[in-house]
Amino acid sequence: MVGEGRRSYLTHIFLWIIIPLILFPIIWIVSTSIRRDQAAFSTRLFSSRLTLQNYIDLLTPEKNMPVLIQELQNLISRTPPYNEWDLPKIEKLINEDIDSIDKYLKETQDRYRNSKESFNKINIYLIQKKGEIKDKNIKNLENLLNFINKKLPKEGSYFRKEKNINESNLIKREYTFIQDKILNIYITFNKEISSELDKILKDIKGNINLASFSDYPKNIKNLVDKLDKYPDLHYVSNKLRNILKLMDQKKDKRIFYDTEKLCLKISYLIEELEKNISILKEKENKLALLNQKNEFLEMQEILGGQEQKEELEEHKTKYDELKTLIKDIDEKINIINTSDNLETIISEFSAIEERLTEFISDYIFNYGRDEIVSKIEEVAGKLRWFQEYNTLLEKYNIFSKNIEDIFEKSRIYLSEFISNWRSLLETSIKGEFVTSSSLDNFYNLIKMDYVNLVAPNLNVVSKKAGDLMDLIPYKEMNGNLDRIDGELFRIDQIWKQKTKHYFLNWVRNSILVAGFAAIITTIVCSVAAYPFSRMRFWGRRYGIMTLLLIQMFPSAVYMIAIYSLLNLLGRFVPFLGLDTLTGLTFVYLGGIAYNMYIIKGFYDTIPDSLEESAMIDGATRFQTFYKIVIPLARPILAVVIILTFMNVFNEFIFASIILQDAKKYTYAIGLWTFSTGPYLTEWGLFTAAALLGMLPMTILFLSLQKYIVSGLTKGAVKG
Amino acid sequence: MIKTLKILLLFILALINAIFLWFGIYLIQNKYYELGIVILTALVLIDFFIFNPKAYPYRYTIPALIFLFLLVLYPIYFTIKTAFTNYGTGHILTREETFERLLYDPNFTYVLEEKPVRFKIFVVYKDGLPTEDFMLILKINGKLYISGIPIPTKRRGREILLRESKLVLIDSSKIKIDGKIVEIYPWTSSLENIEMISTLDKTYKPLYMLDNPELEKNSYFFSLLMQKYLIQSEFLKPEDETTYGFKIDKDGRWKVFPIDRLYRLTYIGNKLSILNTKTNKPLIEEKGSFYDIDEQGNKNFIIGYTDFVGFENFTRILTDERISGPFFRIFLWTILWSLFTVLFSFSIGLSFALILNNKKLKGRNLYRTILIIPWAVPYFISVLTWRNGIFNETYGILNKIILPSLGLNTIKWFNDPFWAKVTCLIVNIWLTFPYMMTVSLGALQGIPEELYEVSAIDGAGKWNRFWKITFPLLLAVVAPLLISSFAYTFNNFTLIFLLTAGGPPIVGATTPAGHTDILISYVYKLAFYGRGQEFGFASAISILIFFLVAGISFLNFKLSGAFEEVRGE
Repeated sequence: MVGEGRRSYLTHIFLWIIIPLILFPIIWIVSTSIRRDQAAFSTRLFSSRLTLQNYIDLLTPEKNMPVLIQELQNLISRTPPYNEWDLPKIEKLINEDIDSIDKYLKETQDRYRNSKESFNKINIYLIQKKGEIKDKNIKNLENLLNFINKKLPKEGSYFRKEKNINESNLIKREYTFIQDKILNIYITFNKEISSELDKILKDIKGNINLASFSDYPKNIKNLVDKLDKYPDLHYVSNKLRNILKLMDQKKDKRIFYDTEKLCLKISYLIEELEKNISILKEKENKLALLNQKNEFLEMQEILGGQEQKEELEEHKTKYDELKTLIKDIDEKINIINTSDNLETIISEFSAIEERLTEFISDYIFNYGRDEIVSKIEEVAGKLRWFQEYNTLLEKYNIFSKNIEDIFEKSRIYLSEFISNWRSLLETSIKGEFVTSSSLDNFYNLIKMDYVNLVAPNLNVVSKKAGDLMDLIPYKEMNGNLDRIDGELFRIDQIWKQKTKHYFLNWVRNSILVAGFAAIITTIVCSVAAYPFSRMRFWGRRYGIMTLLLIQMFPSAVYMIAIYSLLNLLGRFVPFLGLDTLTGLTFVYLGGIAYNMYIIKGFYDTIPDSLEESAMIDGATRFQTFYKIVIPLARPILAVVIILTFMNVFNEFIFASIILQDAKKYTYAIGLWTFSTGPYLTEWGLFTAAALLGMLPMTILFLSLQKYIVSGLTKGAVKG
Repeated sequence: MIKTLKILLLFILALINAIFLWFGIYLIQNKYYELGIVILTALVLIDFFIFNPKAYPYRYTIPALIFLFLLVLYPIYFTIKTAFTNYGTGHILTREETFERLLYDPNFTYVLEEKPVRFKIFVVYKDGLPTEDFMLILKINGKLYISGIPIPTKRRGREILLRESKLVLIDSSKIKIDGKIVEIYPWTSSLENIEMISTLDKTYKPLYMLDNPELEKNSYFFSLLMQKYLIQSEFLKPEDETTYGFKIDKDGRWKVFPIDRLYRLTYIGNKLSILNTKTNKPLIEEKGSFYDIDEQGNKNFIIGYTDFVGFENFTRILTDERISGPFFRIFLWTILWSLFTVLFSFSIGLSFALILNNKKLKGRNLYRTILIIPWAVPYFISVLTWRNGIFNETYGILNKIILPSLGLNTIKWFNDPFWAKVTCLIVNIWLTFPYMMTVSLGALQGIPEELYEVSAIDGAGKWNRFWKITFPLLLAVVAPLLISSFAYTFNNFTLIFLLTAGGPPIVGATTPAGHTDILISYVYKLAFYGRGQEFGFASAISILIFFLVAGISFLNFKLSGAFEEVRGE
């Protein structure tokens, strides 16, 4: 008992694992149809950015900007069908279209403003968090660097030399850095301080504003002593000496109050100078030591031969690479540490991330995976969002500039058009062919400027905003990112040129064709099946079976014949010709035997006695048929209608050879075109259309599966 | 009540009789003998059924018979007939029709003298736009001739082969054409200067004239007239019986030249044939094609007609190596494809059935319904989804996401012959295993419990029980279904067509054959794709398929005893 329970538990688990795998295509259709991003170009199976736009595009395609402008142009030129419209009707539509354009422009501006607001909010938030971002990530990186340092491959003697050289390089760099600092101090002394001293000298000579700090001359004397040590600074020390001298001459021990500050500064600078000089000396010593060591090692190496070197070759490069990585990142950290500007911080972090990712792929390629690389990957993953955000920033700014440009131009073109369309229409009505140049410009603006300058940036921003929602560590910003994504998506929907399709026509055609074919077939079959169930006549025994056998031949074999037949019929009876829906319906009426067989089977179950008694009462055979048998057979007739409907709805071959005009396509061929040519990557549209057709058919199938299964097996299984 | 109904029915019958009779006769008159006979036979049968009381039961089947005759029997007949002809590109017309074309089609004329005649076209304008109501003035040897719209003289169905018109000399400002008075304004011998032609109710203004910069702008409207009227028009000058017509000159523009017919009828022995009037040699007629011998002695194909070629289409399959190679390859693949599909989908379906057949399993109906979904979804949707979303070589999620994430190389699902076949099989197995599961489940439930109980007492193990009891009993019930499933897969055109369209193509084949093509998709390609349409050859293969499937189906009927079912009553 326990074992059984466990086994069924395992069965459930097995089924729950296998079912999603089996139904994956269906899951894919559903999830892709509500994706907002370009699923065909995405590297993810699913997306969190959802929309119903694909369904809207299919079911109630809106007249967006390009459509409106083209329609206006057509109205002005009075191309068909507008040439048959009267003036008030045209004027009304023009006014409506202008209003819509205006509305769209306003909507775009509003949405653009909203997105900008969110964009700024994110910026401000990140500026506030600047310190935290800096600290946290630098800490991460430093940890990483420490880790790498610890895990650095063991160095051989060859290595030591390399290391020494590296170290000496590092020291050299620091050395020059300190030298620079010293130079700076010199410059401050010689420029800033000496000019101030000049000022003081002048003031003392003029006896102005003397302060009363009596002990300062002593301080100054100390300073002068210290400065004397540095011959480069004698200029300053001389000046100070002059001041002292003047003070002595005046016998006034008082001094300018701001001289105090100056003295402090001078003493600070001197301190700094001394400190740096001592560091400099230290480094000099170290450097000398390292050079000495290297020379020694080099000697050893020359004596030890090449072998060791080769052995260490790989290590050397691995070590080298890691070292350079550390060095590069150290440098960048330094920049970040000294910078206070958010943009620099972000761009530097994103540069680090780029460097790390590049390093990872090279490293894996050369040496395979190890713990160093996975650690680096981990840290790089945490830095990913900087790169995304950096691109977002960059592209948003371009987008923002370009779209504002488009707003401005659109407004101009629209107002131009509003001011002159009446006169254009007047000339057009007189019979001349006119086009509005402002509409032309407007259309070009959308076709060129929007498509080339705005749309690509907008799409990147939209995509990055979506990606950032998963990556950014500050989840409280997701609302704003979502808003940017949402608003930009809608802007794109308003402005982008959408491919024209006839989805609603296709569905209508399919329903009409399948509906009529189903009803006619069912009527014909219900009548024809009757004698097979009730009467005796020649051919009864094998009639239906023969028909079934004939119809078992694939209808595809008849393609050529049917094609020629319709071609011929079309010459005499146009509505039954090729490329007509009626012709297609006619072709579908050939599927008779199978339905006859099902209906006959049901008639057999209706007892004869009812009809016999009716016939005794004087009813004719036909009356008993349509007054007694048909009403009783209603359920099976309904089933046959639905089954035939489904079969015809799903039929593809005949529809594809008979129909040529895109407007006349049935749903099946329409969907086929949605998966080829320019639509190949329009997965959103394709899956939405697929789901719309799939859902009712699948539900019908599942609810009628009893009949379908029994019908299919009846052909072969006895009873 | 009954009486009115009867009258109504009789009226309908009369109507059907009238329509069928007219249509049948019309078809026979137009040399569509087969279809005409089919329709007249149907009519005779209908009348027989209705007026012979003994044939009462057949009355019910009349509508069904009409559709059966037109949409099943006629196509079968047509396919068989076509298989013995060369019907296809270049051989669409009948022999009579080719004669008509050769004799009347203005394409088969030649320029007598390379001296173009000046012409000017006038049309009636309406709302500032030219209409198709036109007149033409020609200047031949310094004299002006006028013509109205040429009248169609030869038609084929609704297509006009030839229009003819007699030119009228303009010898005064008022002349008479077709019984109408026409006034030329101004009356001058200069074609350039004629501004207007007026009849009682219409005025014609200039539309087009060569080398007239103002009028040449209208070349678009001129080309419309050209397409609709002038291409098939010939203008006859009554004085010397010369004919004029539009021909493209060396500079690529349409001009009027004196022309003559290239072909006329002649007899070779007793047989009606065609003579080239320019070279004075008869055309060579071979295998439903006409060939012309030019001055250099080269044989040029002129026009072809549908002709019986006997068993040539069938022998071609065997003898022509470039055809037999791909044909047998396709045949082999068709068999393998059906076999593997049935085998795999049955094994998978049976496995699921065995799992779900456990009565203690909770929610097994739910599982069953979920597992049926691949079958329930319209198959063209599933196939397109597999092709576009999953297997697509560039964008498909397999190559783009799943395989790389498993560290595997991408696979050419459609361009590698082996993988293309695998793709077809995967998709078809996915589509058909729910059916197999459903029928297996039904069969499993029909196996009596006692058998298991008895065998358990005898100490049979699980394995033994499955192979000794379940499987044989199951197979007895399911075998006919497997066979019909085989037959269905054999002809599953839609799947192949939508998934791979037969590709990748077989290199070196003269016919459009691909590695994943099955026979039926090969037929389709022969008939509708490729360099030309080979209806004859395609029909021949259709017939082979016909026999194969009929054989399988008949065997199946025998096996399942479906015939006995009817006989047993």
